[in-house]
Amino acid sequence: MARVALTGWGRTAATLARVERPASPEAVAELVRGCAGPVIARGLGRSYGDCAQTAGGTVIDTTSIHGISGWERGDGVVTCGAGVSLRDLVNQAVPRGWFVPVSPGTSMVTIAGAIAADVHGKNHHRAGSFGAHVRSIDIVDGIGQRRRLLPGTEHFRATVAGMGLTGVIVSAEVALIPVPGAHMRVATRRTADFDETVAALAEADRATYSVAWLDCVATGAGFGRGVVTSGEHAAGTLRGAVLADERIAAPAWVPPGLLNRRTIALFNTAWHRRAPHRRDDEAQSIREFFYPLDAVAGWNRVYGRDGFVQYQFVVPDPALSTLRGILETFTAAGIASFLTVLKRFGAGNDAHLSFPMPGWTLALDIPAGTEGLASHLRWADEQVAGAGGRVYLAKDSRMAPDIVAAMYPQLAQFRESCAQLDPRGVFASDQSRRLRLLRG
Amino acid sequence: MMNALREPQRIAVLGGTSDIALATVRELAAPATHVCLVGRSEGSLESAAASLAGTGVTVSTHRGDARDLASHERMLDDVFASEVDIVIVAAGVLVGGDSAEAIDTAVQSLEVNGTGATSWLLRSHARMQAQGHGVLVVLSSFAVARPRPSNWVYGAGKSMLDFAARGLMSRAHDPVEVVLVRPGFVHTKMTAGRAVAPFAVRPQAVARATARAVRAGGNRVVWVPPIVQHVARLLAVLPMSLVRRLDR
Repeated sequence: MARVALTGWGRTAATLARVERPASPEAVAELVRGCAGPVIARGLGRSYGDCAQTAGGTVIDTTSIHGISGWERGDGVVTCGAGVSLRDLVNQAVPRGWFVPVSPGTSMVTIAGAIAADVHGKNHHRAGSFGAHVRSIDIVDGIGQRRRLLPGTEHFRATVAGMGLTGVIVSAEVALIPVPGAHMRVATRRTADFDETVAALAEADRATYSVAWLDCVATGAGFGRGVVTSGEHAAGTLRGAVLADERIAAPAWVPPGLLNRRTIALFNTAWHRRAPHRRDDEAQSIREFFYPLDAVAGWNRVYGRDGFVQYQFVVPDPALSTLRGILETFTAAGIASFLTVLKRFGAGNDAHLSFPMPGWTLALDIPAGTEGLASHLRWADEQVAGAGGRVYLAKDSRMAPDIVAAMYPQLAQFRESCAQLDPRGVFASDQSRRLRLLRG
Repeated sequence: MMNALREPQRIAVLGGTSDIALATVRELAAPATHVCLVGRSEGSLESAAASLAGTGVTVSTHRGDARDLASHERMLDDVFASEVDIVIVAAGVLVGGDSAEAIDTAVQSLEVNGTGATSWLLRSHARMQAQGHGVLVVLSSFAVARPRPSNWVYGAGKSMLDFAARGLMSRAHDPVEVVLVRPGFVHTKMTAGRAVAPFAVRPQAVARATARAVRAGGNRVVWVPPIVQHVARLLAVLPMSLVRRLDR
């Protein structure tokens, strides 16, 4: 079978692999038994880096494993096939008065991917990350056996946020949350500088959902200005198709360097000016509030041939100054981010490689061709690790092994679980090979 | 694995004392990169390793002789103990052109520049294919453009390597990328004492152009400086009498 070139959403570091699309857990098991390695699962390819590809190996695309069951029980706990997307789930759940417990920035992720990356959303400060709402996970392990993993067990802790390295997730039971309607009640605050943004975001913690967009280009008095939004589910109709297909598509080809420091600055300034100073009780659809970028198909293409790097890190509450220092340094060095998002996390969970911890998280989208990017990000890694923080593996595409071991102190326990679940060592991604996640 | 910013984690230099290869390593390496230097003489390898101090890379040295074909696989076992992102095939000896009186020297140079280097190239390619990724940087030469009295023996050896590299480039769906480098006259220890040709460059210029090609990705032929590509085209169509006259 021909090999296919695969990349993450950032469209960097393509490698070739054989891609298989099994339609059932049994087919996955058979595939795994027949592979000598390396094997890795892939969903909708929304992770930014190289975690869902493996050079020269087999990529198991799980998007053909469909099916959502359990609605009849009425308790909001549903069993989803690995390849069910959050979009599918939302579309079936909302008319019944339920919603996904955690929404990342796109609905185009699979349930299996949401678990493997332990995704978080605007409600992290209250609801934690996706793994906290999973009642059981079925995986196919490294010898091709199906196993059910339950919360509180070691293998569950390794599989949530485990980047697919413990096995192929084939289905999971997820606890949904009840919602009174299909709309959101949204409050918006435009802020003038970093301190005001942070204060507004801390205040917005009282809301169920909160997040801030930052103008990463503004310097001087306007440094760190942004737009803080918070939201609540609003009562009202539950009817109507919630998430439709993308309305427009990014062009197939974009001139290299379209997104550069100047155009990014222009966009950031315009976006800040466009926001209302203060607006309360605005009605927004679920798509507008949770998944604004889903309106444009293939928006990652606007970065052109070089692709982009998303850099997301978290630092503990007392280290907010570290976050500020990184943003200041990047701004001064002309490391411009198209979309910059700041969020305050609540408590983390006990999954070995889970990213969130109580503190502040910043996400930056930076064109990969940006001059001096590698050394600036390396410097930022050290700042983050030094402050007791970490960089998100689902976004990572360029870290080095040593720094990851410092950021994720439970790596040894994770490896132990992987060794038990995959004694042959068949599961490996380009990311695990690059970061030596499976062996020191 | 090479990361999103095309920073390699492990580079192997076959012919590890080459000035051009070492300059290329300096251009390509990131602080955490490991470099394997393979060469014949322990002493020269040690000083080559020392020349990389201060770049932040870690270095290991490995004994390997391009002419000793039987040793190639064993040496590559060491080098490929973990995944190698970039192999620089840099083995080369410079010999004079008309070596009719020194046939043994000529044949020995063919064993290094031709058979030996090509064996390293093909064996490295096979290993990279097995690991599913990798970049082969092949140091060829302007000398492959046209046989000239002053360096056709050198050109003959390099032609074999050059042709094999282009052969690898011709394959479809091959996960291994090939960057074929054809420098004109380069000021190195290999060319020291020889008459300087027009458009001569320093090893750093070759290194920069090569690193750019590696970062850009895909199969590429790199002439350094770029103008020698046009000189090569011209040379290919000139009558031999003129080539002979120019070659001094």
